[in-house]
Amino acid sequence: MISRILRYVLLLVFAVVALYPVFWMFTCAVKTQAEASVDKWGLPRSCTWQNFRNVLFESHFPRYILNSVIVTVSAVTLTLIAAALAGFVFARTRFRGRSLLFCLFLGGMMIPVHIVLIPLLKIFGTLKLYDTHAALVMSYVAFSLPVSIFILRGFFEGVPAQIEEAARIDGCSAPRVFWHVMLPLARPALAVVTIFNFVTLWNEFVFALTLLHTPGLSTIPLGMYEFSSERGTNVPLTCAALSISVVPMLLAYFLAQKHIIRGLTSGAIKE
Amino acid sequence: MNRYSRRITVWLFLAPALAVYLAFVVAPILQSFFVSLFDWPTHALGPKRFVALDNYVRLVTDEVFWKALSHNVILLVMSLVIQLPLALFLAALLSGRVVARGFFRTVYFTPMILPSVVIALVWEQMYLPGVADGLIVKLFDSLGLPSPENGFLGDPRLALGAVILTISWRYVGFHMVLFLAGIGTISEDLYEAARIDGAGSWQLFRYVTLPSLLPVIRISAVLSIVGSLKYFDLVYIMTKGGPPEHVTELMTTYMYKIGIDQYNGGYGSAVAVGGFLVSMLVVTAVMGMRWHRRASVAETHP
Repeated sequence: MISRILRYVLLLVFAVVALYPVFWMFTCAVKTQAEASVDKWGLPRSCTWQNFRNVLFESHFPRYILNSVIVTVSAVTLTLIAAALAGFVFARTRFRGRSLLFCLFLGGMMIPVHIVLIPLLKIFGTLKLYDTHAALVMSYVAFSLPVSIFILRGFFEGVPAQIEEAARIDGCSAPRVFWHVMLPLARPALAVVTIFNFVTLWNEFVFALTLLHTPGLSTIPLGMYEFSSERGTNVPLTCAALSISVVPMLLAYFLAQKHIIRGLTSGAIKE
Repeated sequence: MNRYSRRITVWLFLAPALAVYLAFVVAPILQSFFVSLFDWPTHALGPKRFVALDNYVRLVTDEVFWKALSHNVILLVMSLVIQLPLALFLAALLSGRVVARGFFRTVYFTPMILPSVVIALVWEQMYLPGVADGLIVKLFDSLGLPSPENGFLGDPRLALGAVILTISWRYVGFHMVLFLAGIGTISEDLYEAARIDGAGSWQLFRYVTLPSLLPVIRISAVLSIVGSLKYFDLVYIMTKGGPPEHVTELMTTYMYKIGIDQYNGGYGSAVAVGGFLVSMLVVTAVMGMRWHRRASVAETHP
Protein backbone atom coordinates (compact mmCIF):
# COMPACT_ATOMS: atom_id res chain seq x y z
CA MET A 1 0.00 0.00 0.00
CA ILE A 2 2.72 2.43 1.01
CA SER A 3 4.68 1.56 -2.11
CA ARG A 4 1.56 2.23 -4.18
CA ILE A 5 1.14 5.65 -2.63
CA LEU A 6 4.82 6.39 -3.08
CA ARG A 7 4.52 5.40 -6.71
CA TYR A 8 1.71 7.88 -7.35
CA VAL A 9 3.49 10.62 -5.42
CA LEU A 10 6.56 10.15 -7.61
CA LEU A 11 4.49 10.01 -10.78
CA LEU A 12 2.75 13.25 -9.83
CA VAL A 13 6.00 14.99 -8.95
CA PHE A 14 7.42 14.16 -12.37
CA ALA A 15 4.19 15.21 -14.03
CA VAL A 16 4.48 18.61 -12.36
CA VAL A 17 8.10 18.92 -13.45
CA ALA A 18 7.16 18.02 -17.03
CA LEU A 19 4.28 20.47 -17.27
CA TYR A 20 5.37 23.33 -15.02
CA PRO A 21 7.23 25.41 -17.63
CA VAL A 22 4.22 25.32 -19.95
CA PHE A 23 1.83 26.02 -17.10
CA TRP A 24 3.89 29.02 -15.97
CA MET A 25 3.99 30.33 -19.53
CA PHE A 26 0.19 30.43 -19.65
CA THR A 27 -0.18 32.01 -16.21
CA CYS A 28 2.39 34.67 -16.97
CA ALA A 29 0.69 35.49 -20.26
CA VAL A 30 -2.42 36.83 -18.51
CA LYS A 31 -0.47 39.12 -16.17
CA THR A 32 0.11 42.80 -16.75
CA GLN A 33 3.69 43.87 -17.17
CA ALA A 34 3.48 45.71 -13.86
CA GLU A 35 2.36 42.60 -12.01
CA ALA A 36 4.98 40.40 -13.67
CA SER A 37 7.81 42.74 -12.74
CA VAL A 38 6.86 42.39 -9.07
CA ASP A 39 5.70 38.81 -9.01
CA LYS A 40 6.68 36.75 -12.02
CA TRP A 41 6.18 33.28 -10.54
CA GLY A 42 3.03 33.45 -8.46
CA LEU A 43 -0.43 32.73 -9.76
CA PRO A 44 -1.95 35.73 -11.54
CA ARG A 45 -4.03 37.97 -9.28
CA SER A 46 -6.08 39.24 -12.15
CA CYS A 47 -6.52 38.14 -15.70
CA THR A 48 -5.88 40.37 -18.68
CA TRP A 49 -6.26 39.40 -22.32
CA GLN A 50 -4.47 42.51 -23.50
CA ASN A 51 -1.22 40.62 -24.17
CA PHE A 52 -2.98 38.17 -26.43
CA ARG A 53 -4.74 40.99 -28.21
CA ASN A 54 -1.45 42.78 -28.77
CA VAL A 55 0.19 39.69 -30.17
CA LEU A 56 -2.67 38.83 -32.49
CA PHE A 57 -3.50 42.31 -33.75
CA GLU A 58 -0.33 44.33 -33.41
CA SER A 59 2.47 42.03 -34.50
CA HIS A 60 3.49 39.85 -37.41
CA PHE A 61 2.11 36.89 -35.55
CA PRO A 62 -0.87 35.93 -37.75
CA ARG A 63 1.55 36.10 -40.67
CA TYR A 64 3.91 33.63 -38.94
CA ILE A 65 1.06 31.18 -38.48
CA LEU A 66 0.12 31.43 -42.13
CA ASN A 67 3.76 30.99 -43.16
CA SER A 68 4.14 27.92 -40.98
CA VAL A 69 0.98 26.40 -42.44
CA ILE A 70 2.11 27.05 -46.03
CA VAL A 71 5.63 25.70 -45.52
CA THR A 72 4.73 22.71 -43.38
CA VAL A 73 1.77 21.54 -45.44
CA SER A 74 3.67 21.77 -48.73
CA ALA A 75 6.75 20.05 -47.36
CA VAL A 76 4.76 17.25 -45.71
CA THR A 77 2.69 16.64 -48.85
CA LEU A 78 5.65 16.59 -51.23
CA THR A 79 7.62 14.33 -48.89
CA LEU A 80 4.72 11.93 -48.62
CA ILE A 81 4.38 11.58 -52.39
CA ALA A 82 8.10 11.18 -53.10
CA ALA A 83 8.69 8.85 -50.14
CA ALA A 84 5.72 6.60 -50.93
CA LEU A 85 6.89 6.16 -54.52
CA ALA A 86 10.48 5.44 -53.47
CA GLY A 87 9.50 3.24 -50.52
CA PHE A 88 7.32 1.13 -52.80
CA VAL A 89 10.12 0.63 -55.31
CA PHE A 90 12.67 -0.22 -52.62
CA ALA A 91 10.33 -2.76 -51.08
CA ARG A 92 8.74 -4.45 -54.08
CA THR A 93 11.10 -4.41 -57.03
CA ARG A 94 14.60 -5.58 -57.75
CA PHE A 95 17.00 -3.49 -59.74
CA ARG A 96 20.71 -2.94 -59.95
CA GLY A 97 22.04 -0.59 -57.25
CA ARG A 98 18.97 -0.95 -55.05
CA SER A 99 20.73 -1.59 -51.77
CA LEU A 100 23.39 1.00 -52.52
CA LEU A 101 20.74 3.65 -53.14
CA PHE A 102 18.79 2.63 -50.09
CA CYS A 103 21.91 2.95 -47.93
CA LEU A 104 22.48 6.38 -49.41
CA PHE A 105 19.06 7.43 -48.13
CA LEU A 106 19.55 5.69 -44.78
CA GLY A 107 22.75 7.64 -44.21
CA GLY A 108 20.65 10.78 -44.24
CA MET A 109 19.17 9.84 -40.87
CA MET A 110 22.58 9.99 -39.21
CA ILE A 111 24.19 13.09 -40.65
CA PRO A 112 24.28 16.38 -38.76
CA VAL A 113 22.30 18.88 -40.83
CA HIS A 114 24.87 21.60 -40.21
CA ILE A 115 27.22 20.30 -42.83
CA VAL A 116 24.80 21.34 -45.57
CA LEU A 117 23.95 24.84 -44.37
CA ILE A 118 26.75 26.83 -45.99
CA PRO A 119 26.49 25.05 -49.37
CA LEU A 120 22.69 25.33 -49.27
CA LEU A 121 22.96 29.08 -48.84
CA LYS A 122 25.15 29.16 -51.90
CA ILE A 123 22.94 26.82 -53.93
CA PHE A 124 19.77 28.74 -53.15
CA GLY A 125 21.61 31.97 -53.85
CA THR A 126 22.48 30.71 -57.32
CA LEU A 127 18.92 29.52 -57.89
CA LYS A 128 17.66 32.95 -56.74
CA LEU A 129 15.69 31.15 -54.04
CA TYR A 130 17.45 32.48 -50.95
CA ASP A 131 14.92 34.00 -48.56
CA THR A 132 11.92 32.21 -50.09
CA HIS A 133 9.55 29.60 -48.75
CA ALA A 134 10.47 27.40 -51.71
CA ALA A 135 14.03 27.06 -50.42
CA LEU A 136 12.78 26.06 -47.00
CA VAL A 137 10.29 23.56 -48.44
CA MET A 138 12.94 21.93 -50.65
CA SER A 139 15.33 21.54 -47.71
CA TYR A 140 12.58 20.15 -45.50
CA VAL A 141 11.56 17.60 -48.12
CA ALA A 142 15.17 16.52 -48.65
CA PHE A 143 15.77 16.00 -44.93
CA SER A 144 12.43 14.32 -44.24
CA LEU A 145 12.89 11.75 -47.01
CA PRO A 146 15.23 9.29 -45.25
CA VAL A 147 12.99 8.49 -42.26
CA SER A 148 9.86 8.60 -44.39
CA ILE A 149 11.23 6.20 -47.01
CA PHE A 150 12.50 3.95 -44.24
CA ILE A 151 9.12 3.69 -42.53
CA LEU A 152 7.17 3.25 -45.77
CA ARG A 153 9.54 0.67 -47.20
CA GLY A 154 9.16 -1.30 -43.97
CA PHE A 155 5.41 -1.21 -44.38
CA PHE A 156 5.34 -2.16 -48.07
CA GLU A 157 7.66 -5.08 -47.40
CA GLY A 158 5.10 -6.46 -44.97
CA VAL A 159 2.29 -6.54 -47.53
CA PRO A 160 1.78 -10.18 -48.61
CA ALA A 161 3.05 -10.86 -52.13
CA GLN A 162 -0.24 -12.58 -53.07
CA ILE A 163 -2.11 -9.30 -52.96
CA GLU A 164 0.22 -7.76 -55.50
CA GLU A 165 0.26 -10.92 -57.64
CA ALA A 166 -3.52 -11.06 -57.72
CA ALA A 167 -3.66 -7.48 -58.95
CA ARG A 168 -0.99 -8.20 -61.53
CA ILE A 169 -2.90 -11.21 -62.85
CA ASP A 170 -5.95 -8.98 -63.19
CA GLY A 171 -3.80 -6.91 -65.53
CA CYS A 172 -2.68 -4.08 -63.26
CA SER A 173 0.56 -2.31 -64.20
CA ALA A 174 3.05 -1.30 -61.53
CA PRO A 175 1.73 2.26 -61.24
CA ARG A 176 -1.83 0.96 -60.91
CA VAL A 177 -0.85 -1.62 -58.31
CA PHE A 178 0.80 1.18 -56.42
CA TRP A 179 -2.12 3.58 -56.68
CA HIS A 180 -5.12 1.26 -56.33
CA VAL A 181 -3.78 -1.52 -54.13
CA MET A 182 -0.74 -0.46 -52.12
CA LEU A 183 -1.57 3.13 -51.19
CA PRO A 184 -4.99 2.35 -49.69
CA LEU A 185 -3.39 -0.48 -47.69
CA ALA A 186 -0.62 1.81 -46.51
CA ARG A 187 -2.89 4.34 -44.84
CA PRO A 188 -1.63 3.66 -41.29
CA ALA A 189 2.01 4.01 -42.37
CA LEU A 190 1.21 7.15 -44.35
CA ALA A 191 -0.41 8.58 -41.22
CA VAL A 192 2.68 7.84 -39.15
CA VAL A 193 4.94 9.52 -41.69
CA THR A 194 2.64 12.53 -41.98
CA ILE A 195 2.47 13.06 -38.23
CA PHE A 196 6.20 12.60 -37.74
CA ASN A 197 7.08 15.10 -40.45
CA PHE A 198 4.37 17.54 -39.49
CA VAL A 199 5.45 17.85 -35.86
CA THR A 200 9.15 17.95 -36.72
CA LEU A 201 8.80 20.57 -39.45
CA TRP A 202 6.23 22.69 -37.63
CA ASN A 203 8.84 23.13 -34.86
CA GLU A 204 11.93 23.31 -37.09
CA PHE A 205 14.35 26.15 -36.35
CA VAL A 206 17.85 25.92 -37.91
CA PHE A 207 16.88 25.84 -41.58
CA ALA A 208 14.41 28.68 -41.11
CA LEU A 209 17.03 30.72 -39.25
CA THR A 210 19.55 30.17 -42.04
CA LEU A 211 17.47 30.34 -45.20
CA LEU A 212 15.01 33.12 -44.39
CA HIS A 213 15.86 36.76 -43.95
CA THR A 214 12.74 38.90 -44.44
CA PRO A 215 10.78 39.03 -41.14
CA GLY A 216 7.46 38.73 -42.99
CA LEU A 217 8.45 35.27 -44.21
CA SER A 218 9.28 33.75 -40.81
CA THR A 219 7.71 30.54 -39.65
CA ILE A 220 6.42 30.39 -36.07
CA PRO A 221 9.64 29.18 -34.37
CA LEU A 222 11.78 31.74 -36.18
CA GLY A 223 9.15 34.42 -35.58
CA MET A 224 9.19 33.62 -31.86
CA TYR A 225 12.94 33.92 -31.81
CA GLU A 226 12.82 37.34 -33.46
CA PHE A 227 9.88 38.43 -31.34
CA SER A 228 11.79 37.64 -28.16
CA SER A 229 14.90 39.49 -29.25
CA GLU A 230 12.83 42.57 -30.06
CA ARG A 231 10.35 42.56 -27.21
CA GLY A 232 11.78 39.93 -24.85
CA THR A 233 11.97 42.44 -21.99
CA ASN A 234 8.17 42.40 -21.87
CA VAL A 235 7.89 38.95 -20.34
CA PRO A 236 4.07 38.62 -20.22
CA LEU A 237 3.79 39.71 -23.84
CA THR A 238 6.43 37.18 -24.89
CA CYS A 239 4.64 34.50 -22.88
CA ALA A 240 1.39 35.36 -24.64
CA ALA A 241 3.09 34.97 -28.01
CA LEU A 242 4.69 31.67 -26.97
CA SER A 243 1.34 30.44 -25.66
CA ILE A 244 -0.46 31.23 -28.87
CA SER A 245 2.29 29.52 -30.82
CA VAL A 246 1.97 26.22 -28.94
CA VAL A 247 -1.81 26.06 -28.52
CA PRO A 248 -2.63 24.48 -31.91
CA MET A 249 -0.03 21.75 -31.45
CA LEU A 250 -1.01 21.13 -27.81
CA LEU A 251 -4.67 20.82 -28.78
CA ALA A 252 -3.85 18.38 -31.57
CA TYR A 253 -1.63 16.48 -29.15
CA PHE A 254 -4.22 16.09 -26.42
CA LEU A 255 -6.87 15.07 -28.93
CA ALA A 256 -4.73 12.53 -30.73
CA GLN A 257 -1.91 11.80 -28.30
CA LYS A 258 -1.84 8.09 -29.08
CA HIS A 259 -1.26 8.69 -32.77
CA ILE A 260 1.19 11.51 -32.25
CA ILE A 261 3.30 9.57 -29.76
CA ARG A 262 3.33 6.59 -32.10
CA GLY A 263 4.15 8.82 -35.04
CA LEU A 264 7.09 10.41 -33.26
CA THR A 265 8.57 7.18 -31.94
CA SER A 266 7.93 4.61 -34.64
CA GLY A 267 10.86 5.67 -36.79
CA ALA A 268 13.01 4.79 -33.80
CA ILE A 269 11.40 1.51 -32.83
CA LYS A 270 11.59 0.04 -36.31
CA GLU A 271 15.31 0.65 -36.54
CA MET B 1 5.14 -5.91 -69.03
CA ASN B 2 8.56 -6.11 -70.62
CA ARG B 3 11.81 -5.55 -68.74
CA TYR B 4 12.65 -2.31 -70.45
CA SER B 5 9.47 -0.52 -69.45
CA ARG B 6 9.72 -2.02 -65.96
CA ARG B 7 13.10 -0.46 -65.51
CA ILE B 8 11.75 2.87 -66.68
CA THR B 9 8.92 2.59 -64.15
CA VAL B 10 11.39 1.92 -61.33
CA TRP B 11 13.41 5.02 -62.11
CA LEU B 12 10.30 7.15 -62.65
CA PHE B 13 9.11 6.16 -59.18
CA LEU B 14 12.51 6.93 -57.67
CA ALA B 15 13.11 10.15 -59.57
CA PRO B 16 11.38 12.73 -57.31
CA ALA B 17 12.96 11.50 -54.07
CA LEU B 18 16.34 10.94 -55.64
CA ALA B 19 16.47 14.33 -57.35
CA VAL B 20 15.61 16.32 -54.23
CA TYR B 21 17.90 14.23 -52.03
CA LEU B 22 20.87 14.44 -54.38
CA ALA B 23 20.43 18.18 -54.91
CA PHE B 24 19.88 19.29 -51.33
CA VAL B 25 21.63 16.66 -49.18
CA VAL B 26 24.28 14.75 -51.10
CA ALA B 27 25.59 17.59 -53.27
CA PRO B 28 25.87 20.05 -50.35
CA ILE B 29 27.81 17.51 -48.27
CA LEU B 30 30.30 16.98 -51.09
CA GLN B 31 30.47 20.71 -51.61
CA SER B 32 31.29 21.26 -47.94
CA PHE B 33 34.37 19.07 -48.32
CA PHE B 34 35.34 21.00 -51.45
CA VAL B 35 34.73 24.48 -50.03
CA SER B 36 36.70 23.67 -46.88
CA LEU B 37 39.83 23.77 -49.04
CA PHE B 38 39.29 27.45 -49.82
CA ASP B 39 39.49 30.78 -48.14
CA TRP B 40 35.99 31.99 -48.88
CA PRO B 41 34.38 35.05 -47.33
CA THR B 42 30.74 34.40 -48.21
CA HIS B 43 29.48 37.97 -47.85
CA ALA B 44 31.74 39.25 -50.62
CA LEU B 45 31.17 37.96 -54.12
CA GLY B 46 34.91 37.99 -54.69
CA PRO B 47 36.83 34.94 -55.86
CA LYS B 48 37.61 32.06 -53.56
CA ARG B 49 41.26 31.42 -52.88
CA PHE B 50 42.54 27.84 -52.83
CA VAL B 51 44.40 27.21 -49.56
CA ALA B 52 44.62 23.39 -49.65
CA LEU B 53 44.55 22.02 -46.11
CA ASP B 54 45.19 25.32 -44.30
CA ASN B 55 41.69 25.34 -42.80
CA TYR B 56 42.26 21.89 -41.35
CA VAL B 57 45.64 22.87 -39.91
CA ARG B 58 43.81 25.72 -38.23
CA LEU B 59 41.04 23.36 -37.10
CA VAL B 60 43.28 20.88 -35.27
CA THR B 61 45.06 23.71 -33.50
CA ASP B 62 41.82 25.58 -32.72
CA GLU B 63 41.26 25.37 -28.97
CA VAL B 64 37.64 26.41 -29.31
CA PHE B 65 36.88 23.49 -31.62
CA TRP B 66 38.35 21.01 -29.14
CA LYS B 67 36.50 22.68 -26.33
CA ALA B 68 33.27 22.42 -28.32
CA LEU B 69 33.96 18.77 -29.06
CA SER B 70 34.56 18.11 -25.36
CA HIS B 71 31.18 19.73 -24.58
CA ASN B 72 29.52 17.44 -27.09
CA VAL B 73 31.14 14.49 -25.34
CA ILE B 74 29.96 15.76 -21.95
CA LEU B 75 26.45 16.20 -23.33
CA LEU B 76 26.61 12.69 -24.78
CA VAL B 77 27.74 11.08 -21.52
CA MET B 78 25.31 13.08 -19.39
CA SER B 79 22.43 12.20 -21.71
CA LEU B 80 23.22 8.52 -21.30
CA VAL B 81 23.71 8.85 -17.54
CA ILE B 82 20.71 11.08 -16.76
CA GLN B 83 18.09 10.51 -19.44
CA LEU B 84 18.16 6.76 -19.89
CA PRO B 85 18.09 5.68 -16.22
CA LEU B 86 15.45 8.28 -15.39
CA ALA B 87 13.37 7.21 -18.38
CA LEU B 88 13.75 3.59 -17.32
CA PHE B 89 12.70 4.47 -13.79
CA LEU B 90 9.58 6.30 -15.02
CA ALA B 91 8.71 3.45 -17.37
CA ALA B 92 9.04 0.99 -14.49
CA LEU B 93 6.81 3.20 -12.31
CA LEU B 94 4.23 3.28 -15.07
CA SER B 95 4.26 -0.40 -15.91
CA GLY B 96 1.93 -2.83 -14.23
CA ARG B 97 -1.51 -1.72 -13.14
CA VAL B 98 -1.42 2.05 -12.84
CA VAL B 99 -4.48 4.26 -12.76
CA ALA B 100 -4.32 6.99 -15.43
CA ARG B 101 -1.25 5.54 -17.11
CA GLY B 102 -2.24 7.10 -20.43
CA PHE B 103 -2.49 10.48 -18.73
CA PHE B 104 1.03 10.26 -17.27
CA ARG B 105 2.47 9.01 -20.53
CA THR B 106 0.90 11.92 -22.39
CA VAL B 107 2.17 14.42 -19.81
CA TYR B 108 5.76 13.12 -19.77
CA PHE B 109 5.91 13.19 -23.56
CA THR B 110 4.61 16.76 -23.87
CA PRO B 111 8.04 18.49 -23.98
CA MET B 112 8.77 16.55 -27.18
CA ILE B 113 6.05 18.29 -29.15
CA LEU B 114 6.99 21.82 -28.09
CA PRO B 115 9.25 23.86 -30.39
CA SER B 116 12.76 24.29 -28.99
CA VAL B 117 12.38 28.06 -29.19
CA VAL B 118 9.53 27.98 -26.68
CA ILE B 119 11.40 25.64 -24.34
CA ALA B 120 14.54 27.76 -24.53
CA LEU B 121 12.78 31.05 -23.81
CA VAL B 122 10.79 29.70 -20.88
CA TRP B 123 13.78 27.97 -19.27
CA GLU B 124 15.85 31.11 -19.75
CA GLN B 125 13.37 32.89 -17.51
CA MET B 126 13.63 30.17 -14.90
CA TYR B 127 17.42 30.48 -14.80
CA LEU B 128 17.40 34.29 -14.52
CA PRO B 129 18.82 36.14 -11.55
CA GLY B 130 17.74 39.54 -10.25
CA VAL B 131 14.64 41.33 -9.11
CA ALA B 132 12.10 38.69 -9.92
CA ASP B 133 14.40 35.74 -9.36
CA GLY B 134 14.06 32.77 -11.66
CA LEU B 135 12.33 29.71 -10.35
CA ILE B 136 15.40 27.53 -10.14
CA VAL B 137 17.37 30.32 -8.48
CA LYS B 138 14.58 30.53 -5.89
CA LEU B 139 14.61 26.80 -5.44
CA PHE B 140 18.33 26.94 -4.71
CA ASP B 141 17.83 29.78 -2.25
CA SER B 142 15.10 27.97 -0.38
CA LEU B 143 17.38 24.94 -0.05
CA GLY B 144 20.04 27.23 1.38
CA LEU B 145 22.35 26.70 -1.58
CA PRO B 146 24.21 29.66 -2.99
CA SER B 147 22.75 30.57 -6.35
CA PRO B 148 24.91 32.25 -8.96
CA GLU B 149 24.90 36.04 -9.10
CA ASN B 150 24.36 36.23 -12.84
CA GLY B 151 21.87 33.41 -13.05
CA PHE B 152 22.60 29.87 -14.09
CA LEU B 153 23.13 30.64 -17.75
CA GLY B 154 25.36 33.59 -16.89
CA ASP B 155 27.74 31.59 -14.73
CA PRO B 156 30.64 29.99 -16.64
CA ARG B 157 30.79 27.04 -14.25
CA LEU B 158 27.09 26.25 -14.30
CA ALA B 159 25.88 27.22 -17.77
CA LEU B 160 26.70 23.93 -19.45
CA GLY B 161 25.03 21.96 -16.66
CA ALA B 162 21.95 24.17 -16.87
CA VAL B 163 21.68 23.66 -20.61
CA ILE B 164 22.10 19.91 -20.24
CA LEU B 165 19.38 19.86 -17.58
CA THR B 166 16.94 21.52 -19.99
CA ILE B 167 17.88 19.14 -22.80
CA SER B 168 17.37 16.16 -20.48
CA TRP B 169 14.01 17.53 -19.35
CA ARG B 170 12.96 17.58 -22.97
CA TYR B 171 14.00 14.07 -24.01
CA VAL B 172 13.33 11.90 -20.94
CA GLY B 173 9.68 11.43 -21.92
CA PHE B 174 10.67 10.26 -25.38
CA HIS B 175 12.93 7.50 -24.07
CA MET B 176 10.33 6.59 -21.47
CA VAL B 177 7.75 6.00 -24.18
CA LEU B 178 10.20 3.75 -26.04
CA PHE B 179 10.85 1.74 -22.86
CA LEU B 180 7.18 1.55 -22.01
CA ALA B 181 6.44 0.15 -25.46
CA GLY B 182 9.27 -2.34 -24.96
CA ILE B 183 7.90 -3.44 -21.59
CA GLY B 184 4.50 -3.90 -23.22
CA THR B 185 5.94 -6.59 -25.48
CA ILE B 186 7.39 -8.68 -22.64
CA SER B 187 5.34 -11.82 -22.17
CA GLU B 188 3.30 -11.94 -18.96
CA ASP B 189 4.33 -15.62 -18.65
CA LEU B 190 7.91 -14.58 -17.87
CA TYR B 191 6.72 -12.50 -14.92
CA GLU B 192 4.37 -15.26 -13.82
CA ALA B 193 7.17 -17.81 -13.84
CA ALA B 194 9.49 -15.49 -11.90
CA ARG B 195 6.77 -14.78 -9.35
CA ILE B 196 6.23 -18.47 -8.81
CA ASP B 197 9.96 -18.73 -8.16
CA GLY B 198 9.44 -16.13 -5.44
CA ALA B 199 10.86 -13.03 -7.13
CA GLY B 200 10.05 -9.66 -5.53
CA SER B 201 9.30 -6.57 -7.57
CA TRP B 202 12.94 -5.42 -7.69
CA GLN B 203 14.01 -8.88 -8.82
CA LEU B 204 11.27 -8.91 -11.43
CA PHE B 205 12.63 -5.65 -12.77
CA ARG B 206 16.30 -6.70 -12.55
CA TYR B 207 15.99 -10.22 -13.98
CA VAL B 208 12.98 -10.03 -16.30
CA THR B 209 12.29 -6.46 -17.41
CA LEU B 210 15.83 -5.19 -17.78
CA PRO B 211 17.26 -8.06 -19.87
CA SER B 212 14.21 -8.10 -22.13
CA LEU B 213 14.56 -4.36 -22.65
CA LEU B 214 18.20 -4.46 -23.76
CA PRO B 215 17.45 -4.12 -27.49
CA VAL B 216 15.26 -1.06 -26.83
CA ILE B 217 17.83 0.43 -24.46
CA ARG B 218 20.41 0.02 -27.20
CA ILE B 219 18.19 1.91 -29.67
CA SER B 220 17.70 4.66 -27.11
CA ALA B 221 21.44 4.87 -26.53
CA VAL B 222 22.18 5.10 -30.25
CA LEU B 223 19.58 7.84 -30.72
CA SER B 224 20.96 9.69 -27.72
CA ILE B 225 24.54 9.45 -28.98
CA VAL B 226 23.71 10.54 -32.51
CA GLY B 227 21.53 13.35 -31.18
CA SER B 228 24.16 14.65 -28.75
CA LEU B 229 26.78 14.95 -31.45
CA LYS B 230 24.57 17.03 -33.71
CA TYR B 231 22.76 19.01 -31.03
CA PHE B 232 22.13 22.68 -31.72
CA ASP B 233 18.76 24.32 -31.01
CA LEU B 234 18.46 24.85 -27.26
CA VAL B 235 22.11 25.78 -26.83
CA TYR B 236 22.12 28.28 -29.66
CA ILE B 237 18.95 29.99 -28.45
CA MET B 238 19.72 29.95 -24.73
CA THR B 239 23.41 30.86 -24.62
CA LYS B 240 24.72 31.22 -28.18
CA GLY B 241 27.65 29.12 -26.94
CA GLY B 242 28.51 31.62 -24.17
CA PRO B 243 28.48 33.22 -21.68
CA PRO B 244 31.90 34.47 -22.66
CA GLU B 245 34.66 32.14 -23.67
CA HIS B 246 32.61 29.41 -25.32
CA VAL B 247 31.67 27.63 -22.08
CA THR B 248 28.62 26.02 -23.71
CA GLU B 249 29.93 25.97 -27.29
CA LEU B 250 29.06 22.85 -29.27
CA MET B 251 30.55 21.82 -32.61
CA THR B 252 27.38 22.91 -34.40
CA THR B 253 27.02 26.28 -32.68
CA TYR B 254 30.68 27.02 -33.37
CA MET B 255 30.25 26.09 -37.01
CA TYR B 256 27.17 28.29 -37.23
CA LYS B 257 28.97 31.28 -35.74
CA ILE B 258 31.97 30.98 -38.04
CA GLY B 259 30.29 29.87 -41.24
CA ILE B 260 26.97 31.71 -41.17
CA ASP B 261 27.11 34.58 -38.66
CA GLN B 262 30.69 35.58 -39.52
CA TYR B 263 30.47 34.66 -43.24
CA ASN B 264 33.67 32.63 -43.11
CA GLY B 265 32.53 29.94 -45.57
CA GLY B 266 35.87 28.18 -45.93
CA TYR B 267 36.81 27.71 -42.30
CA GLY B 268 33.15 27.26 -41.33
CA SER B 269 32.99 24.34 -43.76
CA ALA B 270 36.13 22.85 -42.26
CA VAL B 271 34.50 23.01 -38.81
CA ALA B 272 31.36 21.42 -40.27
CA VAL B 273 33.37 18.66 -41.93
CA GLY B 274 35.22 18.09 -38.64
CA GLY B 275 31.93 17.66 -36.79
CA PHE B 276 30.59 15.46 -39.55
CA LEU B 277 33.61 13.15 -39.43
CA VAL B 278 33.46 12.87 -35.64
CA SER B 279 29.76 11.98 -35.85
CA MET B 280 30.27 9.41 -38.56
CA LEU B 281 33.20 7.85 -36.69
CA VAL B 282 31.19 7.48 -33.50
CA VAL B 283 28.10 6.20 -35.33
CA THR B 284 30.18 3.59 -37.16
CA ALA B 285 31.84 2.56 -33.90
CA VAL B 286 28.50 2.24 -32.12
CA MET B 287 27.02 0.20 -34.94
CA GLY B 288 30.13 -1.97 -34.94
CA MET B 289 29.73 -2.52 -31.22
CA ARG B 290 26.23 -3.81 -31.80
CA TRP B 291 27.49 -6.39 -34.25
CA HIS B 292 30.29 -7.39 -31.97
CA ARG B 293 27.87 -7.89 -29.13
CA ARG B 294 25.60 -10.04 -31.20
CA ALA B 295 28.58 -12.12 -32.31
CA SER B 296 29.72 -12.68 -28.74
CA VAL B 297 26.25 -13.71 -27.66
CA ALA B 298 26.21 -16.22 -30.49
CA GLU B 299 29.56 -17.58 -29.35
CA THR B 300 28.57 -18.10 -25.73
CA HIS B 301 25.20 -19.60 -26.63
CA PRO B 302 25.86 -21.86 -29.60
